Amino acid sequence: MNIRVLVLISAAFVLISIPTLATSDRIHPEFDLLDRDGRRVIESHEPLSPMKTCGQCHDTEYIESHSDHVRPQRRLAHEVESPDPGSDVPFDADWLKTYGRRHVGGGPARDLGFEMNCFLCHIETVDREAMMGEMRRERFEWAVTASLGRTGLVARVGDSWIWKRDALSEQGRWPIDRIALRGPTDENCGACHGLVHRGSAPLVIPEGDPAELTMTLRTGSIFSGQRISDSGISTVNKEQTIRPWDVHAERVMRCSHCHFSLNNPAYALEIAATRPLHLRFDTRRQAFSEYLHRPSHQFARGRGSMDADPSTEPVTMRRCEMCHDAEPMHRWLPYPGLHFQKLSCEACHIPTSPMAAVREIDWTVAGEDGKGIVRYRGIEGDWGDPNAHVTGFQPVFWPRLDEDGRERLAPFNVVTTWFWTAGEPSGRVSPAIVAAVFHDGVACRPEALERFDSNHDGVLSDEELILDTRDKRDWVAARLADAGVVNPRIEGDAQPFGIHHGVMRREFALCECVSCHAAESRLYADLEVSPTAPFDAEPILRRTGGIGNAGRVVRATEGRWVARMNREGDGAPELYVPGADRNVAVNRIGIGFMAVVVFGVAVHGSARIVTGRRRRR
Amino acid sequence: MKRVYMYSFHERAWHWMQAFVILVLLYTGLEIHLPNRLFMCFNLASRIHVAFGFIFVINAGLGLLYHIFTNQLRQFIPEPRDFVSASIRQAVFYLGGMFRGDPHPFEKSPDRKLNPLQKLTYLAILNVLLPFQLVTGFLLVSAHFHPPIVEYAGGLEWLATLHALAAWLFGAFVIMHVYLTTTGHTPLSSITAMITGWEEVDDDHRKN
Repeated sequence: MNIRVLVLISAAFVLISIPTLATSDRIHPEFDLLDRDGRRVIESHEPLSPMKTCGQCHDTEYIESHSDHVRPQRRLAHEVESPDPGSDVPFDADWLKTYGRRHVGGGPARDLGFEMNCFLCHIETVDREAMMGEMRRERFEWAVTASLGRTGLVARVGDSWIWKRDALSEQGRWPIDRIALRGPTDENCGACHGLVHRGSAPLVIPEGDPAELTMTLRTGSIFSGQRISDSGISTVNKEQTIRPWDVHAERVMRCSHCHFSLNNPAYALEIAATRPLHLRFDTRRQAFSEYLHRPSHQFARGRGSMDADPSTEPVTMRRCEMCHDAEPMHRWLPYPGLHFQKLSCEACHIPTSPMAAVREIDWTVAGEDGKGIVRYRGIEGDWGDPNAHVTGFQPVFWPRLDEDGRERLAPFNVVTTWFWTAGEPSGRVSPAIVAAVFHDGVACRPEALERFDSNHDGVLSDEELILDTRDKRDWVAARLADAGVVNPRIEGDAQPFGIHHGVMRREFALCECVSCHAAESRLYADLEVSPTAPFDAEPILRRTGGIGNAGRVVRATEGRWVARMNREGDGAPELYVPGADRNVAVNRIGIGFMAVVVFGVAVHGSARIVTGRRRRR
Repeated sequence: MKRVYMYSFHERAWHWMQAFVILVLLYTGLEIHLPNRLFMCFNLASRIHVAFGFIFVINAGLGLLYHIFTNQLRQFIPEPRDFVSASIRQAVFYLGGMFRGDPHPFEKSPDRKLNPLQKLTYLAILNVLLPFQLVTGFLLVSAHFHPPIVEYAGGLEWLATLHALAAWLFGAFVIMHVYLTTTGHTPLSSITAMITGWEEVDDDHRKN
């Protein structure tokens, strides 16, 4: 045989084999798609039931009962869709219609027909718009089926969905060779939790509603290994900023490496509360087959910013020092033990956020879309605008109670929500009522324009929509009263969010001594909470996320509020920072004493010189 | 005038060593206390401060041993007899007699180098200020090893405040000490003596 032909045949064989080899590691078999009654959907034409479909092999009841994600009430707060924190509102159809985009279903949602949607995290392409569309129409049972809209398995026909027989496998099952089912990727997590990016394409702020970028909005964190200088976001000193957005992402770590399933045999870590005292490591592991049958969907987590009562939410995630040995890398640091006792790792390794974050969500006014105004910190321009210049921000350092019982300084962003309340006990005024004060459904009301349109362009911009004077506040309050709102008043809810992502490696970490050990210590720097708060309104700080009493929101000047560490009195941290903390009175006494001595020496010496000359004469 | 071998080599070496260490400690302490105001980075200043703190302790200990074994310690101990009146005489000399050209009220000799006021000052410094500064400094530098002790002592802030206050007093002492070295036979005679060991003293001095 001609050697050239042989090479060509071999090459062709290799090329043909590549897809086969690539899919050979897919262990998930084909399976039937079942409806709620256990019938094949291709025959019943009913919506798909993940509980039945996935329940053919997996214990879906177990998964649902061991999943943080199916519990909606405690997870969503201060989102940009509503002034109501999710924990304060009842769970019902309206809740799902508002927050359903970032809810996996199941739990209480299952009673409404929205089953736990396994596909949200286990396939690559999820049609969230279609899923949300079904929920807005209160056809919750079709939401899971609609989320498969981009797989080609279903197609919308009129108001309903039909299963496409030719898209399924020959046996009418899930075509596993074409639509892979796999563990959750970072993109799956990022779809609800924040900006996640992989690949070489420049990272940009996605256009459209940023509401799904919760982690990024709250803390400015981006989980990407791309260098900031290579990204498409305009940042300060971008060309020189060669560090990645997150060093863990750069080192090819995935979300699930830290937020692993608690009974995953590969990562299982028995928490101190249940571990026998005499065991450091328990070698006994659950078999992998058992894990696949009953994978816990409670994922390792740190102290959530939402957790008012940490005792009910045990911290299950590894701490930094459980993976990193800090000692060899900090030999340059004087008194490393003392620094490790007082500072969290994040304090030095996330000292700044190169990305912007939310500062305030103002529901005391309403934009054209009827929603509150979102104001950001660390960005010049609008969020999502490619031309916006991102300046980032310095978080406030507050003491955080860690699992070992020590308080360590850690970085926080503070997001303040302003809203109208009414009645006794107070309840939040519906955004629709507030919106009606400013808009009649078609255009801005002339009375509103008269008071707020300072540049007289006939449009109320975000900058103009602010109740910074008594006149504006009273006018809106009067309009709310006209609408039947009893005793309307403004309240502010300041929520601290600990920053744990966006970690910098040592070359970029905070390691200049005088950053902290100086009069203008970084440790005591303020974070602006609101430069122009609504008139006479005061934000109340939520003590969540483990912050102690040292975290305060205080009035810096009239209408301007800042987050600050309380350095004296009750709740002040046990902290003394040489160079930053000093007793002014002692300095004055010391300098005064020195001055007296110098003065005495000068007078005495002068007198000696003068009298000596006289004697010599 | 007569030349007297006032200070042995060991005394002079110990003195200048201690003087150098105290100046370094004051300088680096000021850098730690008020960073970015002087010419040394905080990190270096804190390391040098701690290192020289230990040198200070060792040198002080060596000095103590030297004075004990050479029986020179008695020079620092005030004599109870006539101490008050002698101190008043010395003070009156500093405040008046010196300007009139009166002779020193006390003869300086190798066996009696300190006047009553000097003895009182050194008694306070060596028995109060120096140990206090050493203890507070040691507690500050090793706070993370024994938090309960630091807590018992009032906490880091309180310790640091006292340490800083004592440092100011040390600074004032240094200024006063250097100035008083100029009150010898000539303005530089005492300093010269501490360098060479030889000092000129009046041979017709009034006996006290």
